[in-house]
Amino acid sequence: MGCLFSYFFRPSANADIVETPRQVFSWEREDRQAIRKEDFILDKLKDQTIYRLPGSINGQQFIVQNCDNCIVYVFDHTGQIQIDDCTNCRIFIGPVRGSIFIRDSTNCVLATICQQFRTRDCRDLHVYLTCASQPIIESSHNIKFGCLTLNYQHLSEQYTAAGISPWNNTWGNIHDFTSIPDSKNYTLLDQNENVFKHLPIPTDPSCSHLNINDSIETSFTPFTYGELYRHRAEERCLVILFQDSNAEPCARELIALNKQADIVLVQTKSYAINEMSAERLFSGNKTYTTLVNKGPVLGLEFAGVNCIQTCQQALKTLISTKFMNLPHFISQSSSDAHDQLDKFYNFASMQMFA
Amino acid sequence: MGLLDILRKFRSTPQEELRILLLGLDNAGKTTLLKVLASEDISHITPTQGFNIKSVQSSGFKLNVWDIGGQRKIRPYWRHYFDNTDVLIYVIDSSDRKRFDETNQELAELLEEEKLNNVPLLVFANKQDLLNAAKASDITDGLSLHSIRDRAWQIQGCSAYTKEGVKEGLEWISKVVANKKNKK
Repeated sequence: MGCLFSYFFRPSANADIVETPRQVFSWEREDRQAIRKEDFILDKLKDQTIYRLPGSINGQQFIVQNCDNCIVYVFDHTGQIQIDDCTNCRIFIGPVRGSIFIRDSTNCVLATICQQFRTRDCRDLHVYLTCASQPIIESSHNIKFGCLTLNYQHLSEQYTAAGISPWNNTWGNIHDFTSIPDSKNYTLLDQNENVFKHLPIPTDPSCSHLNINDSIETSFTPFTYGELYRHRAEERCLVILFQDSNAEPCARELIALNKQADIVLVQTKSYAINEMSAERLFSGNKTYTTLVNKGPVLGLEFAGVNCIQTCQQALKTLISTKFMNLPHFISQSSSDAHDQLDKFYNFASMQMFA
Repeated sequence: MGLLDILRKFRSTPQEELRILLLGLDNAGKTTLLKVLASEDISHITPTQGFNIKSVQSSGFKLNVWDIGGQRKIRPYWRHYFDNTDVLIYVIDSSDRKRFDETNQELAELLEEEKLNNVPLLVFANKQDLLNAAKASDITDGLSLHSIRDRAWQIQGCSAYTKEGVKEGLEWISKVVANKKNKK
């Protein structure tokens, strides 16, 4: 509020006052001028396989354009990504700070971790995502979306460098700007369609030490069913782990334990719940409303037969044996869970758009 | 005479609201810019499906900033937001060279809109922090800004992400708005 307003309400500079020379912007500095743009643009390549290892991109913008039948692996965090006019390409881009935008491309596989995902004028894509916001498509057809499950050495640091959380992934909640009646421009891939079914497994010796693998069990972003489960009737349960160094390890073990009992992870979300929302979410229970002030919470939505009972049992085991004193909350009944999940997600949206 | 005095005078006229319109292609950085103007966190921004609006108010004076989604499909809706615009901010992704022609075209069409006649134009050549960004001076030539005769205009290179250059753009707007009120 202050920043915008202050420019209209402080006295303007008098024309008689000598202006101080303005600052040098970061993009005008020498070290920036020295970077070779060409190293970050792949243009007009054909039948090639390109590798970029950790540290080679280091948050810079990266562009792939006019390429045909190429395989591209970027095992590093990047800035904004543009993929244009590519055909028959298979591309992996590490954590992207900002948006990845693919345009005028056909018959490609794209796997990535990003803040925003956008397409325009594309067709026949397989897209594997960890995406922090709602992916959007425009004038595109036959786009298949799947949840990216992947891990490799240094990936977790790259998520941090790109400002991305593995707990905020809405890979399958797609908004189509040019939706068509009675049909859909996109479909969702189920959990069996791992990324390496469509993206070739990297085999170059230069990256063997990275231990790249796409198994669900070791994936840095947990697999979530998301929209695949949205309208199913199985019992739900909301588990909230409050800010604590053990929250993430506990969450991962809970997901694995639950999986053994056929309880699936539908969605996760991490955000800082404000006190007002906490009051309503936890029905005025003061214990919980004070816990939210410690920092962002980690919420997990589970689903399955006897979900609540199973979750409670699993969480109890973990807390008593491994994660003592980890502050947590768990739904007590099915109807409670339904209401709590609604509120949990709604408050997140409201706070984001405030 | 300070800006505040000028704006106090402005406040006593029937019009009490300053309306700023943020337009540009999708992915230009409009919403990020809006959040920066409002001193808010920019780490959870989602592609705009409709529009975003920020309002600030003080001493009976109101400032509204409208950020409208820029996908090709929804640009026809821009015209619904033209009325009573006091300043047009047009945002360009300086690193998206493939779409320079497209953004030039959209801006050119906006400048022919009757409802936007005489409205001062600030072009933010955004994303200067990205490697592939074209300089603001190059973008100026491509947009043929120098041929604009019917309104005050300015181009400012910026990075909404690092926040550099934004203040400079706002300072130009303040001057232009103050001048306009002076003339009335």
